[in-house]
Order: sequence, then structure tokens, then C-alpha cells
Amino acid sequence: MKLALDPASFTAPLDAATHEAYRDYIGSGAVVGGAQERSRVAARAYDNIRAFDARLEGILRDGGFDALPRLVGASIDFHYFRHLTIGPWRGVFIVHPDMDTAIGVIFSKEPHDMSQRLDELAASAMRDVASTVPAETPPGDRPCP
Amino acid sequence: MHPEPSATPYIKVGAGIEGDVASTADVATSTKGGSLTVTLKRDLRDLLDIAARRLSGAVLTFAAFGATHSMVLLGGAGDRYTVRRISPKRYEIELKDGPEDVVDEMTAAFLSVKQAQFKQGRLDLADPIDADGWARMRAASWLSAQRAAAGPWVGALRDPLGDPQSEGGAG
Repeated sequence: MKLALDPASFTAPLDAATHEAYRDYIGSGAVVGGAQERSRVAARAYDNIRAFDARLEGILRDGGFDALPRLVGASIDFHYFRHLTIGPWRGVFIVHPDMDTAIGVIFSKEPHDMSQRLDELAASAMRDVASTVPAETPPGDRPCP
Repeated sequence: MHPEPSATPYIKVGAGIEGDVASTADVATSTKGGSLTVTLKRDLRDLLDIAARRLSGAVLTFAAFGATHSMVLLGGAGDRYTVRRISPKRYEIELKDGPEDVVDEMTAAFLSVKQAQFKQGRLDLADPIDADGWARMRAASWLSAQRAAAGPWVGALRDPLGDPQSEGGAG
């Protein structure tokens, strides 16, 4: 099976999380006070994101998107949405039985409330609006009256 | 780890479990009569919140250092858990149908937009990748994280991914 990723909502947050996890892991011992606990938390986050990578690679190699747990919404049918959650990290995928490609729509860190990602929602809505409006001709290319 | 066979049927094991646990304590076991009886004292029993006399039990095995280690999970008979092996020495345990699977309203709104875009074929997606493509993409991301954390001097290091452009030099 293949995987198609949403660059803004999956790839970019995953890359940011990778940088954050690595930076915290390396830097967690730099300050003496409370360093031990910080190291433990940082090491766990680092291990978990490594495990997320390995698990997703295994699923892509051997299959298993269908076996991932479903997402449950209070009022919305998320029948085709599955999630892979390891530690604080969560990837949400659309897994449709008629498609041989899963779609990675969201990557997030616990708490997965998305409240800090409203800009993505706004950008997505703007793209929708822009796609329905015909492109305006640049002023320099307009014919003289 | 498997305890050594003992001349006496009564074994007391030191608490060797740490991490994100509500409590940990020594657990006494008895092998009298051929079966294994476990005594959970109040430190553990009070946190279990289990009224039923019957529990669900499972054994997890770990492979490390050429030996197999095992541990037992006990859960309420009415609860459902999914256990996933992540690596030879690592498992993930998830409570099924619990609050962790239920998305909050903000996430639901976010996913609704994604779902609508998916149905209309308007999701903004990169080209599909397979397992090797994913591994390459993640290796590049980790390398980028290492370089960012190390600072600008690391730019002189050779790219372990073997990027031909970086090996060619500027001259």
C-alpha cells in the first residue's frame, strides 16, 4: 500500500515534531535543575516518534492500515478515518476500501485538540475559495483602454 | 524475566516495573498445587477498580539479549484493550472505545473540512510514497533535525544520505 501525505497538515507538523523531539532529546541534559525528569520525558518523546516512523514503515511494507483503530466523532461519521497514536504523537489517515493509497491528513501532538492549527484550516478554506474564483490578470498585462 | 525455580513454592519478586504506572509494588506468588496464585496487596488492589471476580489475562513476551522475557497483563473483564508490538522490546497498550479515540469538537471540525475536500477530490496531497519512500523521507527529516540542533558548523560534515549535490562541492 502507498501513502499520500497532506504537506501542510501532516508533513510539516511531523517535520516540526521531529526537530522538536531531537532538540529536546539532545538539550534535555543541558540544564542541571530537573534534568533527569526532563531527560526521561524527552527520551520518551524521541523514542515514540522513532517508533511511529518504524510502525508506519511496517504498515506500508506489510499492510495493516485497516487494523488501525477508528476515530470516533460525537456527531460526525468518520468511518474511513483511522489513527496511529504512539505516545504523544498521532497520525490520522483516510483508509478507503476502494483505494490502494492511504491518505495522511493530520499529524499532531497530544493534546490533539487542533486549536493551535486554525491557520491551517483558514489556509485550506482560502485555497477552496481561490480555486473557485477565476485568476485575475496582472495589471501590467491588461490591454490599454 | 522468568524466575529461577525455587525449592519453596512461595516466591517474592522485587518491583521492577517503572514508567507511566499508577503504582508499583512487590507481588507475592504461590505455586502450591500446580497453579500460580498472585496476591495483590492494597497498594495495587485499591487502584484496580475491579469489582468482578474474573479478569482478562494475557502474556506479553519480549526478546532481548538472546533470551525471552515475559510479563502478565490483567484487566477488568468488561474492558477491551488492544496490544500492539512496536519493537522486540516495546509494546503499546490501548483502551478500546475509551475517550482517547473520541475526537474533540475542534478536531471534528478540522476533519470535516478534510473529509469534504477528500470527497470532492480537492485534498492538497503530495505524490504517493511506498515504505522505502517513507523511510527516505523520515531519514531526511531526522538529518535536518540533527543539522539544525548542531548549528551551522555541521554543514561541513558529509551528508550520510549521500546527496550527490552536497558531495560535488561548490567549486
